[in-house]
Amino acid sequence: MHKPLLPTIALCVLGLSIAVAAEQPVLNTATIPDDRNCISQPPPSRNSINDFADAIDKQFAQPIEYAFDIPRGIQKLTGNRKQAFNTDAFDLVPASSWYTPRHTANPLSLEELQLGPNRIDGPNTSGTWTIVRAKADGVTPGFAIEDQDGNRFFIKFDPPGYSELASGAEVVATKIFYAAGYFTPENYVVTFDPAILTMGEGVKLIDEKGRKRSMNDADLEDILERVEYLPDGRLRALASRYIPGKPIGPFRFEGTIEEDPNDFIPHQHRRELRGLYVLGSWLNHIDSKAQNSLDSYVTDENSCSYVRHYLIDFGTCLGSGGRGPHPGYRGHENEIDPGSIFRKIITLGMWVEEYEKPDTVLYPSIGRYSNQGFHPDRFHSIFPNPAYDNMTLRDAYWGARLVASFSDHELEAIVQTGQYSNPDAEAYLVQQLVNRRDIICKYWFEKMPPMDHFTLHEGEGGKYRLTFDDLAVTLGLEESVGTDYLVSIGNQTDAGHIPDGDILDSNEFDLPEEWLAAGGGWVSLRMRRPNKRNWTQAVHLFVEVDDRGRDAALTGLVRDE
Amino acid sequence: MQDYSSITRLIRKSSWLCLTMLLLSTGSFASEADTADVIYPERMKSRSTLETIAYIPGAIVHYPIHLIFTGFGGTVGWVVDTKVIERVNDLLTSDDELRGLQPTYSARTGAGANLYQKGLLSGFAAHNKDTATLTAAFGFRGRHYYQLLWESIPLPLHRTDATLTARQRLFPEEAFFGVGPHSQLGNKTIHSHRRTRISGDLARDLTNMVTVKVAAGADWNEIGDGAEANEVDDDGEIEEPSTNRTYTEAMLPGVIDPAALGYVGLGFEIDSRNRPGDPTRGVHGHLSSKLHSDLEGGHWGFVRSEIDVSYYKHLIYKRVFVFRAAVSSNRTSASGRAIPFYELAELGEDNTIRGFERNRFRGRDKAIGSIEYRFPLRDIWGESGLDFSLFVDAGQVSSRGFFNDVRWKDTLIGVGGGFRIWNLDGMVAKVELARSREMWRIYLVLN
Repeated sequence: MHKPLLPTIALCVLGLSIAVAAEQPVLNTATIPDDRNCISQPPPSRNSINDFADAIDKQFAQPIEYAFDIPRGIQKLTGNRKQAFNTDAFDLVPASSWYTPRHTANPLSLEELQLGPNRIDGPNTSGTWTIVRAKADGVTPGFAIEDQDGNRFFIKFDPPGYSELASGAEVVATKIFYAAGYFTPENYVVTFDPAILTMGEGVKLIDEKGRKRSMNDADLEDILERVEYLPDGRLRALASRYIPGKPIGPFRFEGTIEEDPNDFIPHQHRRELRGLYVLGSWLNHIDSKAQNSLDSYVTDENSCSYVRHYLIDFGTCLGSGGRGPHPGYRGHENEIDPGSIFRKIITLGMWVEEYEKPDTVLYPSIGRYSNQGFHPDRFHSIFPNPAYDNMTLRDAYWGARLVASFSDHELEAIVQTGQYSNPDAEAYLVQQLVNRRDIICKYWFEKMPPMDHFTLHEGEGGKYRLTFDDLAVTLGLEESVGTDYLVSIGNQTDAGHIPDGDILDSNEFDLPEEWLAAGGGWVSLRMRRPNKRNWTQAVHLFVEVDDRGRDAALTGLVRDE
Repeated sequence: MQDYSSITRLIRKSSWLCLTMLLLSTGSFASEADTADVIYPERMKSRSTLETIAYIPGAIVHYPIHLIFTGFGGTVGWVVDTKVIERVNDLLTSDDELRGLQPTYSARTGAGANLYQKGLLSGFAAHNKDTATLTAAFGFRGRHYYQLLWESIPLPLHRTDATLTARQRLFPEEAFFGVGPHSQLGNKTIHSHRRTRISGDLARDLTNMVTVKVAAGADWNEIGDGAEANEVDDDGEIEEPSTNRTYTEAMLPGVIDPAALGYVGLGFEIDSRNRPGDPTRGVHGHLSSKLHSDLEGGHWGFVRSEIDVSYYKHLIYKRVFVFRAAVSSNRTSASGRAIPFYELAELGEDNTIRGFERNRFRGRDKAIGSIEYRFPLRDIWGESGLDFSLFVDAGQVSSRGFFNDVRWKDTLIGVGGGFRIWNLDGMVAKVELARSREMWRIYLVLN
């Protein structure tokens, strides 16, 4: 009867040993290869992804797969979820064909934020626009044109009765996504006289009867009949410039593309796609599906060609649903949400979701974008996104870091690019963005301590001073007064042991000279807000001192979850 | 010498040519070498070897399910992408969209096609909303359904139009369990029922909500052996006897003798629902009375009176109660007259008491009460949606008057629930599961 006790004890001891050993922070020293290697030939074009098939896959097939994925289940249960594959020593995402650190790395000026990805002044409205392509998909009517300068744009209109709604949302979201670091198209708000439109040669469309035929003037008239005119008879639209390079097709938020030799990280394990959830929740980017992405074979300034990955089509961001303000449930649930359906059935419909209650769309140009009922961790895109499903707290923190990088003033500047005619509507949108930013950051910064922007510099008397920002304090979400920081220092000689540290009330302190003389090691930081009893998880910083024992430098950090 | 010089020239030219080719070729190689020398990063696996091994058992279980979903999604995706339905529809529709061919299906009539022509009278009337439809549908065991329906025929009367119908149908497996509230499930017999009908209706909108209808027509009915009736099971017993071999004409009027019935009727319809697809408030009902008599001077003759009212009561946030009450009464039009058994009031259809077999109860009169509670599971733009409903249906038939042969404890009850898909035009489809004291029953209704 007692025999099983020994193995049990042995297992417990082993488990404890592992747990203790796990406390020793280990720096991620893996180097993420650059994925912008030259490719001589563009990969073959891919077919567009059918929305319905993708939706069924994401909504039903994928959850079943997750349910039977034993390793994934164990990792989730033990709080040891798979971390993103493409983070550097500082737990950040290096520049790649997917992402370029912009506003968080080097804050952009207001002018740069307003400019976003734009490289020209938009389509030239002084000459004729030749329609070169019919718009085959998407919820808003439109077509593609070539202006007299030879630039091509997709032209998309606002839904009738909701002037400025989709075009404003798309431009504002574009600026933010771009500043955050993603690749986006150049999107412009444009007003033009419909008389400048001319039908190009051989423009084909597939009509509602499935017939492929030439687009004619009647089709154009049909589109123009369904859009709203400005009082002066002109039209307001969104002009989305053709993405440079050769379009390849959409990418999925999982797996890799076999034909692209640079695509070496499964997409669901890319930090920038996982962390997109947080940015998406901020901007209400509910339609973050594969179909709203585009790979393009581009040639960079060094004449090197490779595949770059773009996010496109932000016309359903913020309060816009494309056809009007999006329905209330959008953002709160997936389109077909088994959990919600089950909840309602089991409660016989007595469970009333917040979004079911009647609300008022205050500004038709803004649509349904408020923070009533919003929860940062319960945002849902229309269909599940595999990258979001794999998001860890570290990914979320990274995403919140992006969100936190936009100040009130910067958001005001960005929202101006939506060219809203009603100043009250514009102010409302800014306020909602600010409020939602704060809600998001407060939530995720409580989950992960927002100590960031660490610097180590030699101060007076040759002492090395470590400073950092408390992002929540920077954003005004928390008071610096009363926030304590617990500092512990360790090195390889006392591996596995983190001594009780000093409690500081400042976000800067000198590193002990004897510790530096011994070659440095790691500095573990925890924080405690006023009126909170517990210390947060730790951020471990790694400090290395050169062979001469003089120059110390930060080599990386690890954030505990 | 000349030969030598020509050879020298040739060599020189060849050398230049070779050199040029070599340069060109090395040039091209060089440009390829730019990328050929690139060592691309090794592709990372989303799972480690250990994870892959641990994943295998789960994968074996889930993969077939996964295949079903992806297969379904892929198929529907293909249908959407290729617009095959729109293309076929276009192929079967005239360019002016006034005539076309459409598939049709229902569990009762089988599968078939509708050939329609709109605007036959467009030359005679300002509007051309009249539609003539020829339907032919076939099912198993000789089931068939032919119909010529010409509806919305404009008349030179204000807000009045007409409908003409000619129809023949054969249902080979109609069930009969007896007459009255105490018929037994075990007494099931089956028969075929062939009915040919011509009819004409006039409808006039009195107001936007009230319509008055006048109807006249004639039916020819014939009962025959039920398909697969009288089959003997392993114990030598007849599984489901044929109705016309079980009952005599005296016992069950109409079971042997064909009936040719003419009728005239008057009815009113009221519809104040706020929207037809997903009403949340309003009333929908009809009241009608029809006099049926024997076209061949025989003994058939009866009056059918019906009232059926549904009241939609909105609670909160699109939670809706639907209260329904329906009463139907059949009375012989004179002494000595009879009512064919298949014209008696019926309980068991999905619009009566759910949870019973169709035709389960027959009686001279019927009364139904129903309470249905609907709540939305998804509402998309207010234009379409998915609802869940819970219902309780109750009612009974009577052969001698409700106060004579129906007791409270005889009340038939069916309870259940289901999903309902709707759009602005009406209900698109519903799936319901109902339970009565006799059976579970699933209803799949496509509209």
